[in-house]
Amino acid sequence: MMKNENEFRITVEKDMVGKIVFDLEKQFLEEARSIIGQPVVLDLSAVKLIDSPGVALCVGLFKECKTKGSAFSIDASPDLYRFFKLFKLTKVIEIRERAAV
Amino acid sequence: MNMQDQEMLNELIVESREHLSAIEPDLLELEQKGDAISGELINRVFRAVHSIKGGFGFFGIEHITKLSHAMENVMAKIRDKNLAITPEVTDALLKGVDKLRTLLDDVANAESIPIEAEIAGLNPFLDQQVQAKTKTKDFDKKTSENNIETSIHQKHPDIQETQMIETVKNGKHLYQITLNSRTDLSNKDVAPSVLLETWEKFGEVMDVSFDFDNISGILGSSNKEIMYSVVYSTVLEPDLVSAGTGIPEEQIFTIDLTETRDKIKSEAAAKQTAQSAAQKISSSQEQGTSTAAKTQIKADNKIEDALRVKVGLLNNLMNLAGELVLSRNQLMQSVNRKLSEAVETESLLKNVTQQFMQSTRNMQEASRQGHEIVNQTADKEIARLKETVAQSLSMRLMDVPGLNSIMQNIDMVTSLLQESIMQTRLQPISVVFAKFPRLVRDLAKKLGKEINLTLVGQDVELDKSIVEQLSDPLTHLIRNSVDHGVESQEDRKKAGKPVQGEVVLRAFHEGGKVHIQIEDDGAGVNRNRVKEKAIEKGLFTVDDLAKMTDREIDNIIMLPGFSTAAVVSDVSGRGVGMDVVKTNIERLGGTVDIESEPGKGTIITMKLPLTLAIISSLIVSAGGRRFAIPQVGIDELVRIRAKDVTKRIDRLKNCEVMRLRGKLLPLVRLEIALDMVPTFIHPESNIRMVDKRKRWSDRRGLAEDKPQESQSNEQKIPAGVIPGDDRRGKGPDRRGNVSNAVKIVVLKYQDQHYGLVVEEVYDSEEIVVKPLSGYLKSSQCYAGSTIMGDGSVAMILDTNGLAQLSNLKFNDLEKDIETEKEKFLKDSNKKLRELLLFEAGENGNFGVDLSMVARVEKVETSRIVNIGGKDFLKYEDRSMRLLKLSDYLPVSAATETSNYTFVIVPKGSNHIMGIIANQVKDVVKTDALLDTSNIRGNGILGSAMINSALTLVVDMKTVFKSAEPEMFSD
Repeated sequence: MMKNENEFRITVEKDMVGKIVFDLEKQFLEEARSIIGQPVVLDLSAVKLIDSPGVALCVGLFKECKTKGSAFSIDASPDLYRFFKLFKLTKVIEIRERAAV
Repeated sequence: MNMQDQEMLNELIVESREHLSAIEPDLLELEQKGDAISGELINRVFRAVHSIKGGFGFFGIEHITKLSHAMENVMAKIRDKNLAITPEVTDALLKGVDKLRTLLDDVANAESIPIEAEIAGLNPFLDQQVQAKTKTKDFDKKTSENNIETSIHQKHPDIQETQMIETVKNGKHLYQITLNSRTDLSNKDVAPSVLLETWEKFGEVMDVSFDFDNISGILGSSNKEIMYSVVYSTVLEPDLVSAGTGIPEEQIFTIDLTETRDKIKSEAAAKQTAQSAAQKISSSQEQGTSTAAKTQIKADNKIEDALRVKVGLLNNLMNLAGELVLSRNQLMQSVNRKLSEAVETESLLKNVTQQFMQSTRNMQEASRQGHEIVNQTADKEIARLKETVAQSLSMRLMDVPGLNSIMQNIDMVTSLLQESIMQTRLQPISVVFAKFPRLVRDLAKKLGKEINLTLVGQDVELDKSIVEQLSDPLTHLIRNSVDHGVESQEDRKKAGKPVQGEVVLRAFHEGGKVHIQIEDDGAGVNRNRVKEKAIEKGLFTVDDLAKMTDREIDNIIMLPGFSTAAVVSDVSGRGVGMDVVKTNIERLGGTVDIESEPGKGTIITMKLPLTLAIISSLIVSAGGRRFAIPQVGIDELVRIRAKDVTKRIDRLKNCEVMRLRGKLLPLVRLEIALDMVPTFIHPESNIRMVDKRKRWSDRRGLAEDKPQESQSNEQKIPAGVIPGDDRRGKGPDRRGNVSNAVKIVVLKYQDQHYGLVVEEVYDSEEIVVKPLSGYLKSSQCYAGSTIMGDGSVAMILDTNGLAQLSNLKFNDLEKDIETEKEKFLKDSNKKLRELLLFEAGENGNFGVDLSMVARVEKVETSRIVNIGGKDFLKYEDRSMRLLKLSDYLPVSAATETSNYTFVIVPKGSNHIMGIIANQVKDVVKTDALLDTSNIRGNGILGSAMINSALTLVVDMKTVFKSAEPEMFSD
């Protein structure tokens, strides 16, 4: 996870499936304490697969940010972007299609 | 909230408003249909409410979410047939719609707006649902299918009907599959995307939705159970879908497409109708017919792609298109001027060439007789000059080819562009009509009436600005129709009418305008009551009303001052604020007309222009400046020949009036109304000069004789204007000059007309209306401005404002004239009159006011010369026309002639006319009253017994006017 002055960037480098998601939930909870109004970007540009708990975690982070008054957006890999679009998450969350460098 | 969120929220608000607009008529239709509820109709309401709930749920705006959730629950009971739609249910839901609107109007403070009352209004029906559920545990198959369909629309509001239709057309089946995140995905270690990919082998995943309302933050989110709903289209038969997808059968629902199939059939039929209607359009010249057909076609083409565009951007485009039109006009004018210059140059060159050729021929002739060398030089010169002239000619011509077609193209493309941009601003009138079913329903309920409202022509389109301003006047009219127009149930029964009253709101195209009619089958206008009130209010006299047609009487209710509530509520129909309606519609460039048949109903017709941005106008000038008058207010143009001015234009109480087809029209001189110095173009010198006449019949003087010191300080003369002469009557009379004809634009003002006197009348032009700048906004005289083809600015006149500013009187004019006549007679009767008595014709006794007589001449009859049937006498070095009273008054001509006769020479006529008298009898002072009833005639003031003889008192001026109207002025 990376932070800079302008935004709070949370980068996930592995696919969000299975047990990883539960670990991520703990990490997100920890990091969320530092969120105080600054924009939060969830960088999933390296993630190719996401399971149902993973989706729920993304939504959970989005709602957490909303409560704290922080803008929330996701940088998604092309595969994930297609998925989010099908699930209509792009309608409520600002999601950008971005391939990992 | 950051900018992106704010933008998303703004879009959601706009979308939600649209949903609410759609819900209202659907709810009313549901109420009307009762048991015959259409699944599609109920689904539409569901989709709309659900979308609002879902959207605002994301933003955490609880009041909107809660209220829409409560409404959704009530809709669920209706859908499940656990609750019948009653007026009470509809009321509760409509109140919910109203409150949602209020919440949307102030989303920022939504949480502080109370929703308890609306939820409390909905709750009783939710309780009923519980009772109903305990009664009927099992739903029949149809209900279950209905549930699935409803659920699809609820969970998948984005699925288009067209997609469903396409699926059916392709022979596929449509399923709704529910996935449990635990049992169907996590427990099987399958990611949703992977599962759906496998399904794609047999069909298409059309839509996925999932409900994550139960996720409120990070904590525990990954462990939450999520239910996914998938719409899946496939060729797999129902018994194979479970195997193909790996999902238990109980989670798979087949979507019943019976309704969709029926829809396909009806769509095909409608398409056929539309095609035949389209054929009708092409063959029909009638605009009204084409509109009806257009409506049908448009209804079928609703699936067209649409894009939301900001109004500001459209307005900007409209302005730019307007600028382009103006630039095009300027370019066209400039090119045309250059072309005509080129043609002139060409003809000039031709003339020069011809003259030159002639001269050189002469020179050749001369040189032939002289030296050979001169001849050769001349030949060379001729050839060189010929070439130069030819070159210049061809160059001129080369400039022209191609230019015309380019100009035509620019012209056409600009017009098309402008037209297309205008169309982007057009909105269907349904935007306004949509609110009236609710209004009529609520009002009828309140008044205990039963009224059916029919909406016709909802697809008729009008400019956005007009549509927005139509709401208030239409609401007024509809309320009036329901409140005052349609009778109570008892009265309708008594009148033998059906208990249910009918109100029709209709829109259609006719004559390039949009007509909107409000028709009811009520009692109609009570004309007797209207007449009584009109007299009581002093608006009309009994005589006035007797001359009016029924339609004119009906339209009285729109006069200002008539339509106060106290007056109109007693009248059987219409009234409250009708003058406001009329004013508002007229402000939009429209008209309102009432047509009523007592006992049968009333039709109110409004005619509106399609747009306000470009209007047809007449260009006129005053004081050398050009102005545009909107055509909509112009009735006719009148040109009064210079010689007829004194006959047609009169002065009454400081106001000039014109007699037009027996009616008096007040006149407004544009220059004076605009506070400009009145000027005129001198017909001989063609120089603009100050016009100091007080009335049209006065003479104007010469500029060169004008002494500078006589200029009034108050009358500043504009630059370039040469001061006029106030020594009237000294120069030659130019009043008969063609250029002195008076041009009058007859304008409508409320129910009256007035004449606007202008200097020149030019062409009629389509002008682009530019709003007035802040500095001029308060001016009553102008409605806007425009840029003319030559780039100059012209102000658009507000004709109603001009009339108001001029304090015009209308109804009193005729009365005033009569009063003035009577006053004159009364005054003249009171005075001790000094009369010159004389005899004329065959023993006719006459008298003229001695103060009007300059002198009486005794002349030899032989000095009178008859030319062209008219008698003349040489008098003071000029010829004087002599009149025999028998030619103009009801007296017999003299049979005997004598060697001498008398000529009465009047004062103030420059001795150009006199009256022949056989004998001058006496000068008497008398106070005898003039009798005006016994003997009448033009030129007779009255009769009286003077010196025991019946004497006719003559008005010499009128007699002279009868003989030579153009020579005699007031």
